[in-house]
Amino acid sequence: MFPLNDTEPNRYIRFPYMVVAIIVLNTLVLGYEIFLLLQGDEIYMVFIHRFGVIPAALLSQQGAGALSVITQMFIHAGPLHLFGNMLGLWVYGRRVEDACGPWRFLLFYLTAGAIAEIVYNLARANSDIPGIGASGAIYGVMGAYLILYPGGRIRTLIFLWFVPIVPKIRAYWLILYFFALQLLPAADTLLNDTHYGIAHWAHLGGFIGSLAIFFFLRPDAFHRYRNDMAL
Amino acid sequence: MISQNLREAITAVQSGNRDEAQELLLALVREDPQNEMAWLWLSDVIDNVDDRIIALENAIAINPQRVQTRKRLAQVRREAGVLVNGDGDYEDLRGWENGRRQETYRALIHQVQHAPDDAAAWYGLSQLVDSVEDQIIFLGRTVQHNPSHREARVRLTQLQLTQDDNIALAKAYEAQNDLLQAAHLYKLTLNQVKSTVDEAIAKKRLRQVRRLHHLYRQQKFIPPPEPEPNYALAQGRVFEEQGEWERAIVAYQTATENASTAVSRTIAQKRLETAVRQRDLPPIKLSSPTYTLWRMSLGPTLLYGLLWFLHSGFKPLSQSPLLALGGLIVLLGSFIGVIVMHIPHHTLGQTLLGTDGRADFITRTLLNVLSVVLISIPFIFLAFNALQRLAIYQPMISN
Repeated sequence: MFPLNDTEPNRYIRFPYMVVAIIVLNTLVLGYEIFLLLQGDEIYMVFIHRFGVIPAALLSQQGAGALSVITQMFIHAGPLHLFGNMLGLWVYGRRVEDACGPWRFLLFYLTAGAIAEIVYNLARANSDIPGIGASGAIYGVMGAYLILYPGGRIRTLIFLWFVPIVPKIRAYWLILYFFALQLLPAADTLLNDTHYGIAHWAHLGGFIGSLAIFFFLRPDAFHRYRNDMAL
Repeated sequence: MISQNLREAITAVQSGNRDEAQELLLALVREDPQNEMAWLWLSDVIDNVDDRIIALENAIAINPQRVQTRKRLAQVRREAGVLVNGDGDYEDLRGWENGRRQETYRALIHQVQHAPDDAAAWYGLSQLVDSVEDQIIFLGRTVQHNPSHREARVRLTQLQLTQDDNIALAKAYEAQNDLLQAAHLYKLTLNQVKSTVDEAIAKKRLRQVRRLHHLYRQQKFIPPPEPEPNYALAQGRVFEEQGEWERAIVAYQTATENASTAVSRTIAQKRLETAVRQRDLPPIKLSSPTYTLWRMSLGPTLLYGLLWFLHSGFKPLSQSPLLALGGLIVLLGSFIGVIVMHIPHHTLGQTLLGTDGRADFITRTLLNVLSVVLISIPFIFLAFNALQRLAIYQPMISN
């Protein structure tokens, strides 16, 4: 199931400048990572360990601390990882940026990512594996979308056996589906210390972080939300 | 005891024959200058404000005990004051904030009737009415007569964007022969179309409006005649202004049934829908400027706090107190930023930027820069601290 596009129009701004800027920045960083890989595996791994978040190092006040929390949101493990995250950002971020304004959206994006990191580090406190990727922040944006536009219609690519179809699905079904997908692996990680290679706790943390959206909404959007008016 | 002539004059006033009523009343006061009722009715039918004041003063001279006459005279004098001082600056008309909303509204209506190109009066009206549609219409007039009125332009765009039913509003403009405004709204609807039905209607109406506008410019289009006076419609508007929705609904229903033209029926139906919607709406919850100021200022501060918490390895007390002080600086910077940028301004903003919120460019820029600097400094300090730690960090790479 791949969300492709939000079919609803914007209200305040025509173009999601900040969403596009984040996508471009992430793509450039991936380009730089490929450049490092061509220099040698070790250089690349040093880069990941210095600018990714390692829970054990973070909790013992080693490494870049707060800076690594920000930098890890812009580092991805490969083109597919980047594509999946940026597609999610494009689909859900456009109208969340519309409701916040570009700069406040950037602050919200970073805040959701930081809250996701807190939850992830609490759940995986002893891990020495560097965590990278924007998924925590993007799950925060998804949660914010669910709060602001629960009835939004998302064009989604689904394969029925091998037949692709692209229905419009209500946001609450789609986002709750992605939320439900995290629950079992997250519980398994916590109880059995299983490694999935995916930070499910960061995703759940992102959902918690989405509640911070109310600090970043533009006044008119907040007024409309409080009065049950369409955003 | 009311004389036969006075009774005839009152009947003429009530049936809308103001000229006839004026003649009868003038004859009456010439014949009997002590006729208080004749002076009072005369003050209602004459248009010249100075003459109205004289008529009311005469009525008071005859009966100084009548409180209503005194109130009426005070109101007309206020209106006269507006007209005398009406040089485009209506800041002094903020009397509505002190409970004189109705008087100010009437004075401005009077002004735009006499000087329809007075942009300041239209803008004043837009600030007094509650209905979003009326605000849009008045702001549209403001921008039409003063295209450089930035606040009106910004507010108009905001309201148009927040209107869910642009098509209905555009049709109302069409009904008033305001073709340019109607075309603008149809185009806006096409740009942010929400359904194929809306799109089809907007396209069709836009073509029609453009055609009419083209004919109008070639002087081949004759606007339909003014609809006959529809007193129920006017009555409904008065009830609406006073927030008496039930009575307004009854009046609009009557206006719809008795409408003599399609245009007045459309307007009455539109007003009826608005009144019904207003009656059924729960009271709107508005955020106070102070609440908005805190809400928006806490966002960047929350981000800083979270990063500081993570940076300390969940042990914030082990960190330098300067990093904690950074949170307060971010909060201060955010406060200044929200105060300067958020309109309408908080009272603190009025202190910084003047009561009308229009500080000069340099002051505004300086405050914006100060806000950005105050917000940035703690984050830069935190990043600098992180880089110092990173410089001595030797990662344990395990394959």
